[in-house]
Amino acid sequence: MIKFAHIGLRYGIGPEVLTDINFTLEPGSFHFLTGPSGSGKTSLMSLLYLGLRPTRGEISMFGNDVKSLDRDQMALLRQKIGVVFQDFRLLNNLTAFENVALPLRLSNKSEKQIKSDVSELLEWVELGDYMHRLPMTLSGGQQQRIAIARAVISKPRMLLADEPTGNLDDTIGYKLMGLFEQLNRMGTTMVIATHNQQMMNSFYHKKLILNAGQLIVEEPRNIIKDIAEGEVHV
Amino acid sequence: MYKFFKLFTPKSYILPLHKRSGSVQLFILLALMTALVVIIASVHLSLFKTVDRWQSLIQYQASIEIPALDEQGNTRSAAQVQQNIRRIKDFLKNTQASHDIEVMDTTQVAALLNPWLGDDGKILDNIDLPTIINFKLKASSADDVKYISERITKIAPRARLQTHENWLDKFLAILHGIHILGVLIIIITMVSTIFVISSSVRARMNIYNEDLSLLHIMGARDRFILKQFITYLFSICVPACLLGYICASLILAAVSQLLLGAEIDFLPSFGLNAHQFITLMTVPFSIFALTMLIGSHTVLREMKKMP
Repeated sequence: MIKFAHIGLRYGIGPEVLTDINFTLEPGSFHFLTGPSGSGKTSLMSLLYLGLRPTRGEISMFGNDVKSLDRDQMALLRQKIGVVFQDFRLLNNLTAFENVALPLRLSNKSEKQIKSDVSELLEWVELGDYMHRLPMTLSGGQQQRIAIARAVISKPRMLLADEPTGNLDDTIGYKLMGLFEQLNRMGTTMVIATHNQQMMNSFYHKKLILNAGQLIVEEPRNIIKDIAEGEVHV
Repeated sequence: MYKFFKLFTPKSYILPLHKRSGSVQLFILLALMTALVVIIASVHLSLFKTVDRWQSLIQYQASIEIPALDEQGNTRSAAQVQQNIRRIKDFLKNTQASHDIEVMDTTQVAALLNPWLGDDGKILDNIDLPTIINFKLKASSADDVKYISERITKIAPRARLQTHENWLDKFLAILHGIHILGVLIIIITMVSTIFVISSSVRARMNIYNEDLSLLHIMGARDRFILKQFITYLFSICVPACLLGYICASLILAAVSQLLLGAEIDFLPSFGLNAHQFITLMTVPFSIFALTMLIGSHTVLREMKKMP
Protein backbone atom coordinates (compact mmCIF):
# COMPACT_ATOMS: atom_id res chain seq x y z
CA MET A 1 0.00 0.00 0.00
CA ILE A 2 1.13 3.55 -0.75
CA LYS A 3 0.01 6.34 1.51
CA PHE A 4 0.58 10.06 1.15
CA ALA A 5 -0.30 12.00 4.30
CA HIS A 6 -0.35 15.82 4.41
CA ILE A 7 2.26 16.07 1.69
CA GLY A 8 3.50 19.51 0.72
CA LEU A 9 6.15 20.28 -1.87
CA ARG A 10 7.92 23.47 -2.75
CA TYR A 11 10.98 24.10 -4.94
CA GLY A 12 13.56 26.21 -3.14
CA ILE A 13 11.93 29.22 -1.54
CA GLY A 14 9.05 29.30 -4.05
CA PRO A 15 5.37 28.74 -3.20
CA GLU A 16 4.04 25.23 -2.52
CA VAL A 17 3.29 23.42 -5.78
CA LEU A 18 1.54 20.64 -3.89
CA THR A 19 -0.49 21.43 -0.80
CA ASP A 20 -1.69 18.97 1.80
CA ILE A 21 -1.96 15.96 -0.49
CA ASN A 22 -3.65 12.93 1.06
CA PHE A 23 -4.42 9.68 -0.70
CA THR A 24 -3.94 5.95 -0.49
CA LEU A 25 -3.19 3.53 -3.33
CA GLU A 26 -4.33 0.03 -2.46
CA PRO A 27 -2.24 -2.87 -3.85
CA GLY A 28 -3.48 -3.81 -7.31
CA SER A 29 -5.46 -0.60 -7.74
CA PHE A 30 -5.64 1.46 -10.93
CA HIS A 31 -5.69 5.26 -10.84
CA PHE A 32 -5.64 7.98 -13.42
CA LEU A 33 -3.81 11.13 -12.42
CA THR A 34 -5.15 14.14 -14.21
CA GLY A 35 -5.40 17.91 -14.00
CA PRO A 36 -4.65 20.99 -16.05
CA SER A 37 -1.11 21.92 -17.07
CA GLY A 38 0.88 23.30 -14.14
CA SER A 39 -1.38 21.65 -11.59
CA GLY A 40 1.52 19.61 -10.18
CA LYS A 41 1.08 16.24 -11.96
CA THR A 42 4.76 15.86 -12.77
CA SER A 43 5.73 16.83 -9.22
CA LEU A 44 3.32 14.29 -7.76
CA MET A 45 4.65 11.62 -10.13
CA SER A 46 8.21 12.50 -9.01
CA LEU A 47 7.16 12.03 -5.41
CA LEU A 48 5.60 8.68 -6.32
CA TYR A 49 8.77 7.36 -7.95
CA LEU A 50 10.84 8.84 -5.11
CA GLY A 51 12.63 11.25 -7.40
CA LEU A 52 11.85 14.07 -4.98
CA ARG A 53 11.46 14.31 -1.23
CA PRO A 54 8.42 16.20 0.06
CA THR A 55 9.04 19.37 2.04
CA ARG A 56 6.43 18.24 4.56
CA GLY A 57 4.18 15.29 5.27
CA GLU A 58 4.83 11.57 5.27
CA ILE A 59 5.03 8.97 2.53
CA SER A 60 4.59 5.33 3.33
CA MET A 61 5.39 2.88 0.57
CA PHE A 62 5.02 -0.91 0.67
CA GLY A 63 5.11 -0.80 4.45
CA ASN A 64 8.15 1.50 4.71
CA ASP A 65 8.22 5.02 6.07
CA VAL A 66 10.26 6.65 3.30
CA LYS A 67 11.82 9.19 5.68
CA SER A 68 13.43 6.49 7.79
CA LEU A 69 15.17 4.68 4.90
CA ASP A 70 18.86 5.00 4.10
CA ARG A 71 20.14 5.47 0.53
CA ASP A 72 20.52 1.75 -0.21
CA GLN A 73 17.05 0.96 1.12
CA MET A 74 15.63 3.81 -0.98
CA ALA A 75 17.31 2.32 -4.05
CA LEU A 76 15.76 -1.08 -3.31
CA LEU A 77 12.36 0.59 -2.91
CA ARG A 78 12.76 2.37 -6.27
CA GLN A 79 13.48 -1.00 -7.90
CA LYS A 80 9.89 -1.95 -7.00
CA ILE A 81 8.53 0.95 -9.05
CA GLY A 82 8.41 0.97 -12.86
CA VAL A 83 8.20 4.31 -14.62
CA VAL A 84 7.24 5.05 -18.23
CA PHE A 85 8.22 8.61 -19.08
CA GLN A 86 6.41 10.69 -21.65
CA ASP A 87 9.71 11.24 -23.51
CA PHE A 88 10.71 7.57 -22.89
CA ARG A 89 14.15 8.53 -21.52
CA LEU A 90 15.97 5.62 -23.15
CA LEU A 91 19.76 5.49 -23.01
CA ASN A 92 20.68 6.20 -26.61
CA ASN A 93 24.07 4.49 -26.44
CA LEU A 94 22.49 1.19 -25.44
CA THR A 95 20.60 -1.22 -27.68
CA ALA A 96 16.92 -1.99 -27.14
CA PHE A 97 18.01 -5.20 -25.36
CA GLU A 98 20.45 -3.38 -23.04
CA ASN A 99 17.87 -0.70 -22.22
CA VAL A 100 15.31 -3.28 -21.20
CA ALA A 101 17.95 -5.30 -19.32
CA LEU A 102 18.94 -2.31 -17.19
CA PRO A 103 16.54 -2.84 -14.24
CA LEU A 104 17.63 -6.49 -14.05
CA ARG A 105 21.30 -5.48 -14.01
CA LEU A 106 20.55 -3.01 -11.21
CA SER A 107 19.06 -5.82 -9.15
CA ASN A 108 22.07 -8.05 -9.88
CA LYS A 109 20.22 -10.75 -11.87
CA SER A 110 22.34 -13.35 -13.63
CA GLU A 111 23.30 -12.82 -17.29
CA LYS A 112 21.45 -16.02 -18.18
CA GLN A 113 18.23 -14.83 -16.60
CA ILE A 114 18.64 -11.35 -18.12
CA LYS A 115 19.05 -12.86 -21.59
CA SER A 116 15.99 -15.10 -21.35
CA ASP A 117 13.68 -12.56 -19.64
CA VAL A 118 14.58 -9.64 -21.91
CA SER A 119 14.36 -11.68 -25.12
CA GLU A 120 10.97 -13.06 -24.08
CA LEU A 121 9.57 -9.63 -23.21
CA LEU A 122 10.90 -8.00 -26.38
CA GLU A 123 9.25 -10.77 -28.40
CA TRP A 124 6.03 -10.13 -26.49
CA VAL A 125 6.06 -6.41 -27.36
CA GLU A 126 6.87 -7.40 -30.95
CA LEU A 127 10.40 -6.01 -30.93
CA GLY A 128 12.24 -9.31 -31.11
CA ASP A 129 13.76 -8.38 -34.45
CA TYR A 130 14.91 -5.00 -33.18
CA MET A 131 16.57 -5.97 -29.91
CA HIS A 132 20.08 -5.11 -31.10
CA ARG A 133 19.10 -1.77 -32.60
CA LEU A 134 19.85 1.57 -30.97
CA PRO A 135 16.75 3.55 -29.91
CA MET A 136 17.58 6.39 -32.34
CA THR A 137 17.03 4.01 -35.25
CA LEU A 138 13.55 3.00 -34.08
CA SER A 139 10.16 4.72 -34.50
CA GLY A 140 8.45 6.60 -31.66
CA GLY A 141 6.01 3.72 -31.10
CA GLN A 142 8.84 1.19 -30.95
CA GLN A 143 10.77 3.38 -28.52
CA GLN A 144 7.70 3.61 -26.34
CA ARG A 145 7.34 -0.17 -26.27
CA ILE A 146 10.98 -0.43 -25.20
CA ALA A 147 10.28 2.11 -22.44
CA ILE A 148 7.28 0.06 -21.29
CA ALA A 149 9.22 -3.20 -21.49
CA ARG A 150 11.97 -1.60 -19.38
CA ALA A 151 9.40 -0.46 -16.81
CA VAL A 152 7.78 -3.89 -16.44
CA ILE A 153 10.75 -6.26 -16.89
CA SER A 154 11.45 -6.52 -13.18
CA LYS A 155 7.75 -7.09 -12.34
CA PRO A 156 7.35 -3.86 -10.33
CA ARG A 157 4.76 -3.57 -7.59
CA MET A 158 3.72 -0.20 -8.97
CA LEU A 159 3.84 1.14 -12.50
CA LEU A 160 3.74 4.87 -13.16
CA ALA A 161 3.17 6.13 -16.68
CA ASP A 162 3.35 9.80 -17.61
CA GLU A 163 1.12 10.63 -20.59
CA PRO A 164 1.76 7.22 -22.15
CA THR A 165 -0.75 7.77 -24.93
CA GLY A 166 0.18 11.39 -25.57
CA ASN A 167 2.10 10.77 -28.79
CA LEU A 168 0.04 7.86 -30.05
CA ASP A 169 -3.01 7.60 -32.28
CA ASP A 170 -6.21 6.30 -30.64
CA THR A 171 -5.89 2.70 -31.84
CA ILE A 172 -2.37 2.22 -30.45
CA GLY A 173 -3.31 4.26 -27.36
CA TYR A 174 -6.19 1.89 -26.52
CA LYS A 175 -3.98 -1.12 -27.24
CA LEU A 176 -1.46 0.26 -24.77
CA MET A 177 -4.16 0.82 -22.17
CA GLY A 178 -5.16 -2.78 -22.72
CA LEU A 179 -1.59 -3.79 -21.85
CA PHE A 180 -1.74 -1.70 -18.66
CA GLU A 181 -5.05 -3.30 -17.73
CA GLN A 182 -3.46 -6.70 -18.23
CA LEU A 183 -0.54 -5.77 -15.96
CA ASN A 184 -2.98 -4.44 -13.38
CA ARG A 185 -4.91 -7.72 -13.42
CA MET A 186 -1.60 -9.43 -12.66
CA GLY A 187 -1.44 -7.38 -9.43
CA THR A 188 0.58 -4.30 -10.39
CA THR A 189 -0.64 -1.03 -8.89
CA MET A 190 -1.08 1.42 -11.76
CA VAL A 191 -0.97 5.20 -11.86
CA ILE A 192 -1.45 6.73 -15.30
CA ALA A 193 -0.99 10.49 -15.67
CA THR A 194 -3.01 11.73 -18.60
CA HIS A 195 -4.93 14.66 -20.04
CA ASN A 196 -6.98 12.40 -22.27
CA GLN A 197 -10.53 12.69 -20.91
CA GLN A 198 -11.96 10.31 -23.49
CA MET A 199 -9.42 7.67 -22.56
CA MET A 200 -10.19 8.04 -18.84
CA ASN A 201 -13.92 7.84 -19.49
CA SER A 202 -13.43 4.58 -21.36
CA PHE A 203 -12.08 2.85 -18.24
CA TYR A 204 -13.69 2.46 -14.86
CA HIS A 205 -10.89 3.54 -12.56
CA LYS A 206 -10.44 6.08 -9.78
CA LYS A 207 -9.16 9.52 -10.74
CA LEU A 208 -6.68 11.59 -8.79
CA ILE A 209 -7.54 15.10 -9.94
CA LEU A 210 -4.98 17.80 -9.25
CA ASN A 211 -5.89 21.44 -9.42
CA ALA A 212 -3.56 24.23 -8.36
CA GLY A 213 -1.57 21.83 -6.21
CA GLN A 214 -4.58 20.35 -4.43
CA LEU A 215 -5.85 16.81 -4.92
CA ILE A 216 -9.34 15.41 -5.19
CA VAL A 217 -9.95 11.67 -5.44
CA GLU A 218 -12.85 10.87 -7.76
CA GLU A 219 -14.53 7.48 -7.55
CA PRO A 220 -15.03 5.59 -10.83
CA ARG A 221 -18.29 5.87 -12.69
CA ASN A 222 -20.85 3.14 -12.07
CA ILE A 223 -20.42 0.63 -14.90
CA ILE A 224 -23.78 -1.04 -14.13
CA LYS A 225 -25.53 2.33 -14.52
CA ASP A 226 -23.59 3.11 -17.72
CA ILE A 227 -24.56 -0.26 -19.23
CA ALA A 228 -28.16 0.35 -18.28
CA GLU A 229 -28.05 3.82 -19.84
CA GLY A 230 -26.46 2.46 -22.97
CA GLU A 231 -23.17 4.33 -22.45
CA VAL A 232 -21.18 1.11 -22.73
CA HIS A 233 -21.38 -0.69 -26.06
CA VAL A 234 -20.74 -4.37 -25.46
CA MET B 1 42.37 3.05 -26.09
CA TYR B 2 38.83 2.70 -24.77
CA LYS B 3 38.08 -0.21 -27.13
CA PHE B 4 40.99 -2.10 -25.60
CA PHE B 5 39.73 -1.55 -22.08
CA LYS B 6 36.11 -2.21 -23.09
CA LEU B 7 37.22 -5.83 -23.48
CA PHE B 8 37.87 -5.92 -19.76
CA THR B 9 35.04 -3.71 -18.55
CA PRO B 10 31.99 -5.31 -16.98
CA LYS B 11 28.60 -5.32 -18.70
CA SER B 12 27.41 -2.99 -15.98
CA TYR B 13 29.52 -0.21 -17.54
CA ILE B 14 26.66 1.44 -19.39
CA LEU B 15 27.34 5.16 -19.52
CA PRO B 16 29.50 6.29 -22.47
CA LEU B 17 31.63 8.52 -20.25
CA HIS B 18 34.64 8.08 -22.53
CA LYS B 19 32.85 9.38 -25.63
CA ARG B 20 32.59 13.04 -24.63
CA SER B 21 35.45 15.43 -25.33
CA GLY B 22 37.91 15.93 -22.52
CA SER B 23 38.97 12.30 -22.10
CA VAL B 24 42.07 12.77 -24.27
CA GLN B 25 42.96 15.97 -22.42
CA LEU B 26 42.52 14.19 -19.08
CA PHE B 27 44.72 11.35 -20.33
CA ILE B 28 47.48 13.75 -21.45
CA LEU B 29 47.25 15.77 -18.24
CA LEU B 30 47.59 12.66 -16.06
CA ALA B 31 50.51 11.41 -18.15
CA LEU B 32 52.26 14.80 -17.89
CA MET B 33 51.70 15.00 -14.14
CA THR B 34 53.08 11.50 -13.66
CA ALA B 35 56.12 12.34 -15.80
CA LEU B 36 56.68 15.61 -13.93
CA VAL B 37 56.50 13.98 -10.50
CA VAL B 38 58.74 11.08 -11.60
CA ILE B 39 61.36 13.51 -12.95
CA ILE B 40 61.25 15.69 -9.83
CA ALA B 41 61.40 12.65 -7.55
CA SER B 42 64.31 11.29 -9.56
CA VAL B 43 66.20 14.61 -9.36
CA HIS B 44 65.56 14.55 -5.64
CA LEU B 45 66.97 11.08 -5.22
CA SER B 46 70.01 12.08 -7.27
CA LEU B 47 70.50 15.17 -5.13
CA PHE B 48 70.39 13.06 -1.99
CA LYS B 49 73.01 10.80 -3.52
CA THR B 50 75.16 13.82 -4.39
CA VAL B 51 74.82 15.25 -0.90
CA ASP B 52 75.90 11.91 0.57
CA ARG B 53 78.83 11.74 -1.84
CA TRP B 54 79.97 15.26 -1.14
CA GLN B 55 79.55 14.83 2.58
CA SER B 56 81.56 11.64 2.62
CA LEU B 57 84.23 13.19 0.43
CA ILE B 58 84.51 16.58 2.06
CA GLN B 59 83.45 16.14 5.64
CA TYR B 60 86.52 16.06 7.94
CA GLN B 61 88.67 16.73 4.89
CA ALA B 62 91.11 19.59 5.49
CA SER B 63 93.84 21.24 3.42
CA ILE B 64 96.74 23.43 4.34
CA GLU B 65 97.78 25.83 1.65
CA ILE B 66 101.22 27.39 1.88
CA PRO B 67 101.48 30.23 -0.62
CA ALA B 68 104.59 30.26 -2.82
CA LEU B 69 105.41 33.77 -1.61
CA ASP B 70 106.43 34.47 1.96
CA GLU B 71 105.19 37.39 4.02
CA GLN B 72 107.72 39.72 2.41
CA GLY B 73 106.50 38.78 -1.04
CA ASN B 74 109.61 36.74 -1.90
CA THR B 75 109.36 33.33 -3.49
CA ARG B 76 110.08 30.63 -0.98
CA SER B 77 113.12 28.57 -1.87
CA ALA B 78 112.79 24.83 -2.53
CA ALA B 79 114.65 24.12 0.72
CA GLN B 80 112.27 26.41 2.60
CA VAL B 81 109.27 24.70 1.05
CA GLN B 82 110.60 21.25 1.93
CA GLN B 83 111.34 22.36 5.45
CA ASN B 84 107.81 23.77 5.86
CA ILE B 85 106.31 20.55 4.53
CA ARG B 86 108.40 18.40 6.82
CA ARG B 87 107.64 20.51 9.93
CA ILE B 88 103.91 20.65 9.20
CA LYS B 89 103.76 16.90 8.50
CA ASP B 90 105.59 16.25 11.77
CA PHE B 91 103.21 18.51 13.62
CA LEU B 92 100.15 16.84 12.06
CA LYS B 93 101.49 13.36 12.78
CA ASN B 94 101.96 14.30 16.41
CA THR B 95 98.45 15.69 16.61
CA GLN B 96 95.80 13.16 17.64
CA ALA B 97 93.19 15.10 15.67
CA SER B 98 94.46 14.31 12.16
CA HIS B 99 95.41 11.40 9.91
CA ASP B 100 95.89 10.46 6.23
CA ILE B 101 98.36 13.25 5.57
CA GLU B 102 99.21 13.66 1.92
CA VAL B 103 101.25 16.34 0.15
CA MET B 104 100.03 17.18 -3.34
CA ASP B 105 102.75 17.29 -5.96
CA THR B 106 103.12 20.12 -8.48
CA THR B 107 101.23 18.24 -11.18
CA GLN B 108 98.23 17.68 -8.90
CA VAL B 109 98.21 21.32 -7.82
CA ALA B 110 98.49 22.42 -11.47
CA ALA B 111 95.54 20.14 -12.30
CA LEU B 112 93.41 22.10 -9.80
CA LEU B 113 94.06 25.23 -11.86
CA ASN B 114 93.28 23.44 -15.07
CA PRO B 115 89.62 24.62 -15.31
CA TRP B 116 90.81 28.27 -15.23
CA LEU B 117 94.13 28.14 -17.08
CA GLY B 118 93.72 25.18 -19.40
CA ASP B 119 96.51 22.77 -20.36
CA ASP B 120 98.97 25.44 -21.42
CA GLY B 121 102.15 24.41 -19.63
CA LYS B 122 103.86 27.74 -20.43
CA ILE B 123 101.44 29.67 -18.29
CA LEU B 124 101.80 27.22 -15.42
CA ASP B 125 105.60 27.42 -15.69
CA ASN B 126 105.39 31.14 -14.95
CA ILE B 127 103.16 30.77 -11.89
CA ASP B 128 104.51 30.10 -8.43
CA LEU B 129 102.26 27.27 -7.33
CA PRO B 130 101.35 26.97 -3.65
CA THR B 131 102.05 23.88 -1.62
CA ILE B 132 98.99 21.94 -0.55
CA ILE B 133 98.88 19.36 2.19
CA ASN B 134 95.68 17.34 2.50
CA PHE B 135 94.73 15.48 5.64
CA LYS B 136 91.66 14.28 7.48
CA LEU B 137 90.45 15.52 10.82
CA LYS B 138 89.36 12.76 13.13
CA ALA B 139 86.41 14.95 14.20
CA SER B 140 85.39 18.39 13.15
CA SER B 141 86.05 20.12 16.46
CA ALA B 142 86.32 23.90 16.34
CA ASP B 143 89.06 23.81 19.02
CA ASP B 144 91.17 21.39 16.96
CA VAL B 145 90.75 23.51 13.84
CA LYS B 146 91.71 26.67 15.71
CA TYR B 147 94.75 24.98 17.32
CA ILE B 148 95.99 23.53 14.03
CA SER B 149 95.42 26.84 12.27
CA GLU B 150 97.49 28.77 14.84
CA ARG B 151 100.31 26.24 14.85
CA ILE B 152 100.76 26.01 11.06
CA THR B 153 100.87 29.84 10.79
CA LYS B 154 103.74 29.78 13.25
CA ILE B 155 105.53 27.10 11.22
CA ALA B 156 104.90 28.68 7.83
CA PRO B 157 103.67 32.27 7.92
CA ARG B 158 100.68 32.94 5.61
CA ALA B 159 99.79 29.21 5.58
CA ARG B 160 95.99 28.75 5.62
CA LEU B 161 93.88 25.90 6.92
CA GLN B 162 90.82 25.14 4.82
CA THR B 163 88.29 22.67 6.29
CA HIS B 164 85.66 23.13 3.51
CA GLU B 165 82.97 23.33 6.21
CA ASN B 166 81.69 26.77 5.14
CA TRP B 167 81.64 25.74 1.52
CA LEU B 168 79.88 22.47 2.30
CA ASP B 169 77.32 24.25 4.48
CA LYS B 170 76.50 26.67 1.65
CA PHE B 171 76.27 23.81 -0.82
CA LEU B 172 73.96 21.90 1.51
CA ALA B 173 71.82 25.03 2.01
CA ILE B 174 71.40 25.33 -1.77
CA LEU B 175 70.49 21.64 -2.05
CA HIS B 176 68.07 22.05 0.84
CA GLY B 177 66.43 24.93 -1.04
CA ILE B 178 66.16 22.83 -4.20
CA HIS B 179 64.73 20.01 -2.08
CA ILE B 180 62.01 22.27 -0.63
CA LEU B 181 61.25 23.61 -4.13
CA GLY B 182 60.91 20.05 -5.46
CA VAL B 183 58.60 19.04 -2.63
CA LEU B 184 56.49 22.15 -3.30
CA ILE B 185 56.25 21.30 -7.01
CA ILE B 186 55.19 17.73 -6.14
CA ILE B 187 52.56 19.05 -3.70
CA ILE B 188 51.29 21.56 -6.31
CA THR B 189 51.14 18.78 -8.91
CA MET B 190 49.20 16.51 -6.55
CA VAL B 191 46.80 19.31 -5.62
CA SER B 192 46.35 20.07 -9.34
CA THR B 193 45.63 16.37 -9.93
CA ILE B 194 42.97 16.51 -7.22
CA PHE B 195 41.32 19.55 -8.84
CA VAL B 196 41.59 18.15 -12.37
CA ILE B 197 40.04 14.80 -11.41
CA SER B 198 37.37 16.37 -9.24
CA SER B 199 36.30 18.91 -11.88
CA SER B 200 36.50 16.34 -14.68
CA VAL B 201 34.23 13.93 -12.78
CA ARG B 202 31.85 16.75 -11.85
CA ALA B 203 31.73 17.93 -15.48
CA ARG B 204 30.90 14.42 -16.63
CA MET B 205 28.22 14.09 -13.99
CA ASN B 206 26.67 17.32 -15.31
CA ILE B 207 26.84 16.11 -18.92
CA TYR B 208 25.21 12.81 -17.99
CA ASN B 209 22.91 14.27 -15.38
CA GLU B 210 19.77 13.03 -17.13
CA ASP B 211 21.09 9.50 -17.49
CA LEU B 212 22.32 9.49 -13.91
CA SER B 213 18.98 10.69 -12.55
CA LEU B 214 17.23 8.04 -14.68
CA LEU B 215 19.45 5.31 -13.21
CA HIS B 216 18.83 6.75 -9.76
CA ILE B 217 15.05 6.67 -10.30
CA MET B 218 15.30 3.09 -11.58
CA GLY B 219 16.90 2.10 -8.30
CA ALA B 220 20.63 2.23 -9.05
CA ARG B 221 22.61 2.27 -5.85
CA ASP B 222 25.32 4.92 -5.45
CA ARG B 223 28.00 2.26 -5.82
CA PHE B 224 26.58 1.24 -9.20
CA ILE B 225 26.99 4.84 -10.41
CA LEU B 226 30.41 4.95 -8.76
CA LYS B 227 31.40 1.83 -10.71
CA GLN B 228 30.68 3.66 -13.97
CA PHE B 229 33.12 6.42 -13.11
CA ILE B 230 35.72 4.13 -11.58
CA THR B 231 35.74 2.05 -14.78
CA TYR B 232 36.09 5.21 -16.84
CA LEU B 233 38.87 6.67 -14.65
CA PHE B 234 40.65 3.32 -14.58
CA SER B 235 40.64 3.13 -18.39
CA ILE B 236 42.14 6.63 -18.57
CA CYS B 237 44.45 6.60 -15.58
CA VAL B 238 46.30 3.30 -15.95
CA PRO B 239 47.66 3.91 -19.47
CA ALA B 240 48.24 7.61 -18.68
CA CYS B 241 50.33 6.85 -15.59
CA LEU B 242 52.25 4.13 -17.44
CA LEU B 243 52.94 6.42 -20.38
CA GLY B 244 54.01 9.25 -18.06
CA TYR B 245 56.35 6.90 -16.21
CA ILE B 246 57.88 5.51 -19.40
CA CYS B 247 58.37 9.00 -20.88
CA ALA B 248 59.97 10.27 -17.67
CA SER B 249 62.27 7.23 -17.57
CA LEU B 250 63.36 7.84 -21.16
CA ILE B 251 64.03 11.53 -20.44
CA LEU B 252 66.05 10.64 -17.34
CA ALA B 253 68.02 7.98 -19.23
CA ALA B 254 68.83 10.53 -21.96
CA VAL B 255 69.91 13.18 -19.43
CA SER B 256 71.98 10.58 -17.60
CA GLN B 257 73.74 9.63 -20.84
CA LEU B 258 74.42 13.31 -21.57
CA LEU B 259 75.94 13.85 -18.14
CA LEU B 260 78.05 10.71 -18.46
CA GLY B 261 79.33 11.98 -21.81
CA ALA B 262 80.22 15.32 -20.28
CA GLU B 263 82.32 13.56 -17.59
CA ILE B 264 81.47 16.13 -14.95
CA ASP B 265 82.25 14.42 -11.69
CA PHE B 266 80.52 16.85 -9.37
CA LEU B 267 77.14 16.74 -11.15
CA PRO B 268 74.61 14.28 -9.76
CA SER B 269 74.35 10.90 -11.41
CA PHE B 270 70.89 9.72 -12.48
CA GLY B 271 71.81 6.07 -12.07
CA LEU B 272 69.39 4.65 -9.52
CA ASN B 273 69.77 1.74 -7.18
CA ALA B 274 67.01 -0.84 -6.59
CA HIS B 275 65.62 0.97 -3.57
CA GLN B 276 65.41 4.28 -5.43
CA PHE B 277 63.90 2.55 -8.46
CA ILE B 278 61.14 1.09 -6.26
CA THR B 279 60.60 4.53 -4.73
CA LEU B 280 60.09 5.99 -8.22
CA MET B 281 57.71 3.15 -9.13
CA THR B 282 55.42 4.33 -6.33
CA VAL B 283 54.81 7.63 -8.20
CA PRO B 284 52.44 6.30 -10.91
CA PHE B 285 50.76 4.08 -8.30
CA SER B 286 50.28 7.08 -6.02
CA ILE B 287 48.77 9.18 -8.84
CA PHE B 288 46.54 6.24 -9.79
CA ALA B 289 45.41 5.79 -6.18
CA LEU B 290 44.87 9.54 -5.78
CA THR B 291 42.79 9.64 -8.98
CA MET B 292 40.58 6.75 -7.87
CA LEU B 293 40.20 8.18 -4.37
CA ILE B 294 39.27 11.69 -5.52
CA GLY B 295 37.04 10.32 -8.31
CA SER B 296 35.13 8.11 -5.85
CA HIS B 297 34.82 10.88 -3.30
CA THR B 298 33.48 13.35 -5.90
CA VAL B 299 30.94 10.88 -7.34
CA LEU B 300 29.59 9.89 -3.92
CA ARG B 301 29.43 13.52 -2.78
CA GLU B 302 27.53 14.56 -5.93
CA MET B 303 25.21 11.55 -5.72
CA LYS B 304 24.20 12.57 -2.20
CA LYS B 305 22.61 15.66 -3.76
CA MET B 306 20.04 13.31 -5.32
CA PRO B 307 17.18 12.37 -2.95
